[in-house]
Amino acid sequence: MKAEFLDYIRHKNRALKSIKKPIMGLVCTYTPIEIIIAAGFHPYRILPTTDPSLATSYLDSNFCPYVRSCLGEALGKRPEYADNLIIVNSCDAMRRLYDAWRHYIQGSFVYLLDLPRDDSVKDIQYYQDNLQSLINELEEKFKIKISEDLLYQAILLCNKTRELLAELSDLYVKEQVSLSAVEFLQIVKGSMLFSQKEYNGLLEKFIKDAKKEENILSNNSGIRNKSKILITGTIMDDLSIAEVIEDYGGKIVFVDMCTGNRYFQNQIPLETSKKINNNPLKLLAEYYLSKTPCPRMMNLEKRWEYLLKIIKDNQVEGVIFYNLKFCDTSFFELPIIRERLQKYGISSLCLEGEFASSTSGRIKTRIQAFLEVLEFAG
Amino acid sequence: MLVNLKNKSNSTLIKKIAKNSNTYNIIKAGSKLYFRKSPESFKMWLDFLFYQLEEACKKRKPVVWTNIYTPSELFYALDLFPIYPEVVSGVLASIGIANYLIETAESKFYTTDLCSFYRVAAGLVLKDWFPKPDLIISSSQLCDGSTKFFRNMSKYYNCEYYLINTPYHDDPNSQNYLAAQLKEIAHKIDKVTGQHLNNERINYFFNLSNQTREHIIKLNEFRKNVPSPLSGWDAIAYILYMFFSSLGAKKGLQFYRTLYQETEEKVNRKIGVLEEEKHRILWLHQVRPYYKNEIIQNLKENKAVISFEEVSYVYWQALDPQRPWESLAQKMTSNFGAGPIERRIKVVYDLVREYKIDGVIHFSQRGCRQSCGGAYIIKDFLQEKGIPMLILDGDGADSRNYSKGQTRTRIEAFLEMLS
Repeated sequence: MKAEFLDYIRHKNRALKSIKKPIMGLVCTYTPIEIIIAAGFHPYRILPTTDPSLATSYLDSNFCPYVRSCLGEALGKRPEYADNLIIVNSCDAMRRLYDAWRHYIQGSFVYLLDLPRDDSVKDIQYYQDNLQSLINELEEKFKIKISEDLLYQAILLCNKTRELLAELSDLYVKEQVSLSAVEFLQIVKGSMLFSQKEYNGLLEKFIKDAKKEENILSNNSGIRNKSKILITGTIMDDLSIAEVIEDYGGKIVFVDMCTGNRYFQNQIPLETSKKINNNPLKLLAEYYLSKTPCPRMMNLEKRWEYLLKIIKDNQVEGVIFYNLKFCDTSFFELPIIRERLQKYGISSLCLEGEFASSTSGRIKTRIQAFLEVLEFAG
Repeated sequence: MLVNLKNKSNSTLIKKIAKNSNTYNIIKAGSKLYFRKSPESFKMWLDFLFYQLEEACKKRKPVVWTNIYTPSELFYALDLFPIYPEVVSGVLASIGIANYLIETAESKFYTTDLCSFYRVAAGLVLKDWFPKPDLIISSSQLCDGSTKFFRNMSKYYNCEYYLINTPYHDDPNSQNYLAAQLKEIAHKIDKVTGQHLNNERINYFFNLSNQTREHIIKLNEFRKNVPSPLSGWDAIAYILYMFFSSLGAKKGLQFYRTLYQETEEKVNRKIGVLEEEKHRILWLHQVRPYYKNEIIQNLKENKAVISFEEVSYVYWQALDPQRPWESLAQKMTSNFGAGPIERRIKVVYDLVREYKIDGVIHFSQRGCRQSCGGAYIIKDFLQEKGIPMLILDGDGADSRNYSKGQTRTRIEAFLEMLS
């Protein structure tokens, strides 16, 4: 059952083939997928595998490898999401992807959604207004009506996905299901590609079956000796990094990444809100801006408190920073967070992702050395 | 000049010297003598630079650190003293100490992929070689690095930090959002300074800015002249320092009035930067290399002059003292470097035609995503119009990334093509 489920979700092309609705591509977890669903589209997170250097002469060589890979993939065989795409103004690289996509790929609906950097009352109102503008554009372009009811239904659907992923995460950390870190991350990734309705059904069944299984890792004492690791960063382009960490004696207890735990933070409080007749766009704006911020956002203290809580709650022994190369927003955060971790006596390792075809020997060696130090110190 | 900076006692001594206002008085006196034959405008910039450094030490007014696209008029009207660390980094690169500060920043986890101007300034702060600001106010325009750098510095200095979140678009809703932030910050600052921001102050400082703006526009008109009376190499250096930090200041108006008069005289006497001007170049990006380099010689040898640069283009309307927050917001959102690339393309194309440009050079500052990410799109557009463009990779503050031979080869090949 597990093998079947994992095999099914591993192939992103399968996701595209299984979708009956038109595809709307997205590149950032601050994109309100609920609006895309309510508009009758399937929200498809672009997770490319193309070599970023293919887009170097269209953008710049010292540029986010994720953005270059997205563009590179679209420059090749035209993907299904090429025509309809929402790009969030999350960073300079995304801003330029918006320009480059319109210039080189073109498409019928390529939309830039502006995103504030904090969650003040003004910021939430501004983001809410932007969401309304997005809805207006979608309605005009595709001659549709996005009602409040459709938005509420979409919120319910996405809440269910978040709830299931949170439950799975809890089971994984407590070792109540037999799941490696790579498998857990593959499951999270799958939820960004497949139809929410189909995926919720598959995931719910998977969790139910997994709980019944007695195939929990038998040698618990071996697990207890593993160093507990928090990975923090942007996007895990290469899931085999997680495999390498586990192979060398690490137990990943939390993945603070856009493609990890940050993706399914909390849920939109629907029942209470409906009773007090809240505008669903207000709920979306509040949810997206108030959730645990990614490194792009400006509230460093909120991020630090959240990381510290994870470290304390999970007895984290080591932190691995995994950020995509040339990511200014995360690399500027690094000096402050690393210094604070040092004061708490937490060792950290900094790795850079480049959307390379395989994990380099150098990275493997660095991870191994880091975990050996943790083991020795432990 | 500063031998063995790594020596701890030297470093402590430098700290004391750098934070003492008398240091800048002495250097100012020395530089007046050394540069006595330089143009009056250059000497006025030196005067302004040392006045800024002196005031950063004396703190007769609360000192605010800010970034280059946050309007200086706002701070002068609020009775704050603005310091621009990004431009200070350029000055430090020109006197040869940038690399040491960069190494300091890198030793504290600021990676080599980050913009060197911020690594220089971060190094300066980490060495504690600059007087601490009273607060930091910056806007998210034009780049991510700027936003995060200032936030970090506020942590090191443990001082108040305000971010002005500049919207992507310039529609009325976006401008209202920005104007509301400016107003809120001004209200908070009022309480800090005790200096009430009244209409009189707004009128006075906004009018100073508007008058300066008029002089810049007229100066820019003169620069359309053939031969070019003023080199972009200077315009992206000491003149740019004034462009970013002196609008709203009396010294800024005096500077531009003088520079305008100097340039007018050159135009009247048909004096160009070069005796023989073969190629007129438009420079793209806000910076150029400030450490010792040979780019300007490479250009001169091939009779090329930087006739104009995009960063000096006056893109904003005159400020309206009756609507201070709205007009400041409008100034910020009308920046052609913000928003979709079409804005920048339009300005570049207009400048090419107005300044009779033969070729465009985009200086691709290593670590600068906002500008470099759009360079190829601009190049494609210009190519279709028959205008050659060179994308010149380099670094404005970190001389380790400057390759003399490679840069020369690329420039010469480009200029040969123009011929």
